Amino acid sequence: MRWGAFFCTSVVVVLIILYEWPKMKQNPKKDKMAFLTLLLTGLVLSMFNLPQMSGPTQWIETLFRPFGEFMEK
Amino acid sequence: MEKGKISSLQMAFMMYPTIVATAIIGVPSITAKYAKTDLWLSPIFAALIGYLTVYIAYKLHQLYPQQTVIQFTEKIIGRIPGKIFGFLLIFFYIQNTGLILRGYAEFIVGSFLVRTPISVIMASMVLLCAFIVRGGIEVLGRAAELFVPVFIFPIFILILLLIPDLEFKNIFPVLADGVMPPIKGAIVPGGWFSEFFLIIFLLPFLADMKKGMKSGMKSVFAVMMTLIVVNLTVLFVLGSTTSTKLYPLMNASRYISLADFFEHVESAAMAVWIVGAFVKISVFYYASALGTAQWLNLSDYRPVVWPIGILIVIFSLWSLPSSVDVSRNDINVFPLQSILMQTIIPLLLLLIAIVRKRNRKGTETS
Amino acid sequence: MKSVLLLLGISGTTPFLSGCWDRIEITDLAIVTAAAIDKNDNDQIELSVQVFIPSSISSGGGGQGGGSSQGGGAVTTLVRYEKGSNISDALSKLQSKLPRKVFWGHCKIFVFGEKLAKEGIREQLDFLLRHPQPREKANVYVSKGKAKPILESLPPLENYSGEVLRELSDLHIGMLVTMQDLDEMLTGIPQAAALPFVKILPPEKGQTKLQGIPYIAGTAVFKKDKMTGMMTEKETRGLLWLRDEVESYTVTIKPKGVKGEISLSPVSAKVKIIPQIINEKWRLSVKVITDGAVIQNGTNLNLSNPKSLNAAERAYQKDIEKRIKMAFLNTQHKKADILGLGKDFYRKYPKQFNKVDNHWDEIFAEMEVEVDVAAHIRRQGYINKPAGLSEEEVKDK
Repeated sequence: MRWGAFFCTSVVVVLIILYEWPKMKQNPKKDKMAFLTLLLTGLVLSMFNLPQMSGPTQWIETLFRPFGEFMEK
Repeated sequence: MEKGKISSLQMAFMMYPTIVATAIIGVPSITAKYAKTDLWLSPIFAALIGYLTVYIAYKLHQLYPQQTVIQFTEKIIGRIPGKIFGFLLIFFYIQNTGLILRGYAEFIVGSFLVRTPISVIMASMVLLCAFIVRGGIEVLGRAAELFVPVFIFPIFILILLLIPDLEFKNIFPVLADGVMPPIKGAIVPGGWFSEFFLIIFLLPFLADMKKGMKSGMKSVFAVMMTLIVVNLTVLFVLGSTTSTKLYPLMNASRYISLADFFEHVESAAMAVWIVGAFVKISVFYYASALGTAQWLNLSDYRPVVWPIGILIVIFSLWSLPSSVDVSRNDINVFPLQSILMQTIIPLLLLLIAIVRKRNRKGTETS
Repeated sequence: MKSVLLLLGISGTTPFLSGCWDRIEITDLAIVTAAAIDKNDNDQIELSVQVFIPSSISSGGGGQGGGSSQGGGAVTTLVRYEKGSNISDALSKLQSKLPRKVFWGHCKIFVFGEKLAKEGIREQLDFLLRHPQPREKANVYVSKGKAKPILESLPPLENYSGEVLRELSDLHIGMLVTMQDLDEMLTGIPQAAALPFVKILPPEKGQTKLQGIPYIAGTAVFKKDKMTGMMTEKETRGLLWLRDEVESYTVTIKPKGVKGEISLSPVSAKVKIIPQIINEKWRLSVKVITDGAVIQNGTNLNLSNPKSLNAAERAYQKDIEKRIKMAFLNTQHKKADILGLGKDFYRKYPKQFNKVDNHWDEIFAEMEVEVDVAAHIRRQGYINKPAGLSEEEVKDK
């Protein structure tokens, strides 16, 4: 948990909603859902200590290990 | 979804910094590690991947004009596999925008703004890019048209100013260990050239569709020449130490000293380089946002621009604790991932699409 | 709603208006003009920095006022030093003695002390190459004895001693080696390096002790990163010929069969080093084309006469040949390939070179050299006959 980063991200998220929401009044509901879901994903992820956490980038690296070994020769 | 139109020249202008901006900073040293004194040959081999990618993208586009890759893959390989590939592609672009952003920020933090927190540098760049991406493709195209000359000229002036310090002998021996080292050295720049697949997101908005292929090829050629010139310059100035430097072009530009007073120009040159990085990140960002919106069948891509910006920053940090991890990813993972996602799979898609079309025609005529 | 947003936006950006984290005012910087790195008897690193004092320029009227001939005006630099286990450790301690932040960007001179050089400079070089501020174009020297006195000396002619060294190097009196060159010599094929060797010219009687100026007195020879020997000034000249760095140079020759000497200056030269492998034998062919202008003629030869000119040219040619051979034999004797000949061989014969890569030193030490000089005297100044001699005395053959 890193409260500083989480707090900053929350502020950014609120600003984005304030800025973007009035503009997408006309848009269908699906757009709004996608907008909020993606924001929420970002917000949730920002709570973790990301650099130390294993994530997709690392998984892909594991997947490509043979290639990595080839390149390190 | 996107109503703007760009010219094919603007597309070429957008793609040039998209490849070159980061390729001239870190890649020469990686190439030098494998190819030694033949590092200038590697871009030639790598460019072959670029030509192939442009060809594939253009052919796919011809088969399905007015659609981007996310939309027509569903038609080629069916709804579910199409969605899966679409997701992987979007994921690849978002993740790589993050990696590019991190690479850019590491360079800035490492050489100029040593005490500035890296997240501030990244956030300010994403903010700027988000505005231009929201502005749409026309804004992006015009910005590229405006900025690219500003980006190219200083680099060539830099190289001109280095001429007194060039040690041309460093080019020898040519191909001492055969042709394999430069080919292996071409793998990493090949990953960069694969990024030309991004034109598939731009081709549907071209005003002069027919010139798309030609200007794409021209752009690949320009990138190739730039990389050759940059690699040669770096080799002539730094010689055998090229592979030990993290940012060889930076080291070389610091070497400029004319008449004892015209020196220390690297800050100016690199400030301009940021413009190139800005175009690069914007193009990737645009592809990510447009792709996401199309994948989710939204009515507009603008609502997802800001949320994706946050995701990009998150991916630029996620499981990358240090700059060593970033450069290792650039060598060990990125090239294959990039070529696989942007050249090999599209090539398969193209083959399937051609076979299908032919079959359909066959059934129609019989 | 809109006004709230606007307000938020404006107040949100105010923290950025002051600039960013890395804002540094020039008045917060201690600009290092030269640095000396020594090792003391307790195996500690001593870092001395010569820091520029900006107020000395602005208030002292350029420091030349009052007709004082020997830096008697404002002192423009100060020297601080501190011990530590390595450069960065010493630097952090040094920082506590300086009210301003140390800035390396304008440091053009790095001097290694003799003791440090003999025990290896690699560890300290790493700092200089890794830190983003020190420049690749900075010149590197080795000093006789400790390096610190070189920074402390107050040269009469230039503003500070670092400037003296830089100007001397630019005249190509001795070798000019930048940090980039050093890095290349040590990481590349030769595994040997040469750095200019600096001494302090002792002050004349009656002058204060600090008024001696540093000057380049030869070349320090490094094998790997350790100093193993040195070459005298005369040998260094030969080295400059081999490295094709001859500039503003005077050659004095003694033609056969006549009394007196002829001096030539300036001398320009084109040097071509051709590596050869003939019948498995490694040899070096050096081709020199050199031109000179007569600046003093102490003999009675009339140089307008083609025959005498020829005699003088022959002497000139022999002299250059001798210099080059002497310098080359000297480097062979030290088994240190400071000319980077290994690189030349690698460029021409990569396959053969890779086979002998690990005992290149020995091959280098046994290599034959063939020097081929084409020397010409092109101009003879304002007079065409030796001065102060009557027609009869001038040898006209």
